[in-house]
Amino acid sequence: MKKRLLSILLTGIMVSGFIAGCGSSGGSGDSSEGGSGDKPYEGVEINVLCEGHASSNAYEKMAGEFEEETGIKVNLEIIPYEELPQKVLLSFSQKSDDYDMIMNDSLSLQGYVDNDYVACLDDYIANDDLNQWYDKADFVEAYEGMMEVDGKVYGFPVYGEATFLMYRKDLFDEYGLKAPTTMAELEECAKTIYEGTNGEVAGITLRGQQGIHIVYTWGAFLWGYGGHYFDENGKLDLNTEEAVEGTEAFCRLLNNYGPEGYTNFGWQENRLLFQQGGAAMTIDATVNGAYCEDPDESDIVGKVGYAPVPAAVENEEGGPAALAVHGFYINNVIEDKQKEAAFLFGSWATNAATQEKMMGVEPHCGVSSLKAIESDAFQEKYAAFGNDMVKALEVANPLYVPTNTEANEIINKVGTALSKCLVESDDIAGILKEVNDDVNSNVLK
Amino acid sequence: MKNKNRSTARAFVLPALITMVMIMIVPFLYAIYITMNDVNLLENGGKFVWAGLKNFKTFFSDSRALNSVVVSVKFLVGALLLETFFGIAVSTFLDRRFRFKGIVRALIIVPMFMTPVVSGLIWRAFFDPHAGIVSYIYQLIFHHKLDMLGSTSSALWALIIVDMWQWTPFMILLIMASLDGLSEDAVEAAKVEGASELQIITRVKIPMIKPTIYMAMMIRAIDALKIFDAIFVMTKGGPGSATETMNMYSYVVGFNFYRIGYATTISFIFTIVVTIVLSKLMQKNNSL
Amino acid sequence: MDLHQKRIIKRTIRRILFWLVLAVILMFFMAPLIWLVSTSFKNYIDAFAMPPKLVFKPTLENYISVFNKANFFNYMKNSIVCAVIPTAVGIILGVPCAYSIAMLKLKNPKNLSFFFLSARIAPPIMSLLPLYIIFSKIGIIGDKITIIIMYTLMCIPIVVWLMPVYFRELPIELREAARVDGCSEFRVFWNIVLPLVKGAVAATAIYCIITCWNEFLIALVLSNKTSQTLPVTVTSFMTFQGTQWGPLTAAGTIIMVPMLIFGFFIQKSFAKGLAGGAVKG
Repeated sequence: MKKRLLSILLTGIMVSGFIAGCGSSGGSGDSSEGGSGDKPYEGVEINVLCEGHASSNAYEKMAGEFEEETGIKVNLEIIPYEELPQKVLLSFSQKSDDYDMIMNDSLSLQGYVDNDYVACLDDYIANDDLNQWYDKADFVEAYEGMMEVDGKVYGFPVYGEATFLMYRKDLFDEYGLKAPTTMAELEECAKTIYEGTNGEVAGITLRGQQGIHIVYTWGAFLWGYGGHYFDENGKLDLNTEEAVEGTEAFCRLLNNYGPEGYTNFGWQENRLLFQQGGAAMTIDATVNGAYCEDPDESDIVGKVGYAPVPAAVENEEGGPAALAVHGFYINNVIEDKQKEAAFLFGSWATNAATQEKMMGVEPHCGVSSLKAIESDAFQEKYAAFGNDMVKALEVANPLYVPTNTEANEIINKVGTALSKCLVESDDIAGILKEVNDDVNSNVLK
Repeated sequence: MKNKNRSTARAFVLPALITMVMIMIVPFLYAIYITMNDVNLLENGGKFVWAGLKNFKTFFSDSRALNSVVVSVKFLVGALLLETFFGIAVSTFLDRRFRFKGIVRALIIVPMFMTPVVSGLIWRAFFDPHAGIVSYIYQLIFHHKLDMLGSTSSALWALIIVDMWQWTPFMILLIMASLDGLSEDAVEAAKVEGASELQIITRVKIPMIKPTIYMAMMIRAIDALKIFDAIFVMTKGGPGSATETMNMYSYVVGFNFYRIGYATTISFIFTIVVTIVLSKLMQKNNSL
Repeated sequence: MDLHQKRIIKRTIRRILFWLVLAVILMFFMAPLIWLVSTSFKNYIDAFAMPPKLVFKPTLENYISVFNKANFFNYMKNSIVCAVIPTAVGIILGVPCAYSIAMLKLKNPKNLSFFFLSARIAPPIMSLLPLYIIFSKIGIIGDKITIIIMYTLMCIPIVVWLMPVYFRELPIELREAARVDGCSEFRVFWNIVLPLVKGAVAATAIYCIITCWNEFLIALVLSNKTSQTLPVTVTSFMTFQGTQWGPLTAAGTIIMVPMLIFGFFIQKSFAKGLAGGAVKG
């Protein structure tokens, strides 16, 4: 604790020292946005590790504009999301300066901060020489909140997603159904359509692939049936009636009314099946709305209704919809000038104007800027579900998946157990108890 | 004279030996030290915390680890038997004079030169229950869809099929070459005695090429135990832990959980057991 | 006459059956390659049409997007470097060592070859874990040299394991005669033995190159943006949004073509080499 305080203090001193030095040497007071001739970071190069995502692709295309403006060259490395966390951690733990900034979900932030892997941004935000692009008030509040630890800002929210229920309005009309609001209704709807079409159309499709995918969708049932991940002592608490009931419902739905191959459905497989008309419902990320309404991608444009994720019981601790926010974080071991350059890029990349532009470059509806969400571009492209998305974001549950240091291991273990439940669902309670005990005795000591 | 011989021999061996000691034995000793520590890259910045034999104890009470041993063995036995059987079957089938033999042989061994990551991905597409050709053919015949990678019972078989596809050609290559080298006399003699074609294969040809088959099986056994790429891109060890081999599990523990200490312990136990078993087998058959 | 006709019919049926079975076998082994190459020329819609489209309008867009991917040629260069250097080192160090094990009077040739063999048996992750920490302490993580070192560790045992059988095949008189003529042990090796096993050395080298070129796990863990090899690049087409099959198959085709051509040309000597020793062994 003492050490951390000291390091924060030191960083602060170093930063302020640098700024003072900069002021005296640079001298020119007119380093405002217009001063294009004055580029204090000309020639600086920063390396940014990104996950494969529409936003990363947009940045890759737009990095040239940033270089023109600041003289900072940005090298983006985009790798598959599944491999990103380990790559980042190995690099951080070795105190490597390979990457100046990395992108990852907010789950990992707590761990990064605990280990002093990432730099606190508060001093940069307060620094008028650097903060021309940073606008805290413009971020969706919930997103920005997930970039903070103990009231300090550590990251830039790049994009955010909630989950909602997507259902086929045409099929629902045909069978006289209305959007389900409880889990029982959800199951009834799935059953009606599955049986009505003789299984031609799956009642519901969900991601069932082992690992983060199954954990991500199963969460709706864990929370929706009144369960939670951790008890008040921070121990994993999946050996409960609620969790078992939720898991049973999850498995029952897929086993009885799901499509072929759901045990290997990741995000893409699930999305494709739904937008090709193979299923009547799905619960997934809000970004799927953009795909459902895209005529190049989808066979069901205009036929999809959007609704909040149903719940079996009211859960005081958190609702059945996920909130996932991905951000940029700055490596703590790099030199100050690198950090400042990285800060400039991070704040530029998440700035309202940049985000608005990104929507035109790539199919990207998870923008984190309020101005971008209110922009005409957003309303025009994503009108069909925009309001439902914002509603979903408001009620989304930030505790939806584990966010502690051990999150990765817990998600892997729970994901493996759930996958087992899905394929051999006769002893769900036993499987959950086993993984619960395993995690509590081996991971959360 | 003899001394000189020996010193030359040493001079020939030493560079390779020293290199191997530097990049194998030193890390191996270090690995033994790592197994006795808790090394978690997520905690304390990856500091070593002395743990004694705790990691070994964990291994024997970790059901997932023990499961991975079973999966490894199942995979090994399945792949090895199928590859050997089809290797012998196809080679003896092709062991005759026909046109384009050279081209056929060249085409058959194509899979073994294909990058395993890529072939894993191809087979994943093939096994896809909606758009995959395997499922499509299955559906034409049995009228319902097949989801090979989606169930615990069939996922491992899917991986075995992929391994078989990729490495049976290796068997074929070796066995065909040694069949080519066989003298015709024994076969002719058997023919004169009125042996059937099957008898000639099982009683005459196979015994003669036994050493080759044996050597090929050894190479395959070693590599089958190390399989990683296909599992990584096809199932990631799932569903559940149905296809999680020891190699895969130690990767997951090491580079997903960041528990380097425990991961090293798993691969250490793996290495020791496999080395002992295989070396016993090899020394026995003297095909070093 | 009747009997003769019957025999002809029987032979024809057998021949047809033979070619049919052969076609099935070839189809099984070739289908993935055919699918890979044809998909790489298909657009998104044709790629997953069922039944598979045999006639389609070929497109080069997948290849264009692969070549436009930043640094693709750089990754290819990495792959070449990471395959050629370890193979060269493996051959230079391994061949004399194998010769020594096979022909010269060492104290414990069995133990020695077992030592090299154990390196072949041990899974790469066994060395990867400790070496990762060692590399990072030296500060060379992400450098190609780490991959080259790991691959050398794979190549030397391959050479030491495969080569002795070729040396044992050589007539002993040859060596004895040269020795009597007063040649030094080194001269015997260099001038007489080595030229005789040229083909075997080439086959072994190819085996090493293919092993390195196709390796994935080590490259996955040790490489970074600048040092990654092609198999790692391929998996970067598996994104969070799913798998981009078009560019992936195009990249896969590009990666495999050199190895397939290689394999095609060396397959004969390769086969002889691998099996030749074992028959006598």
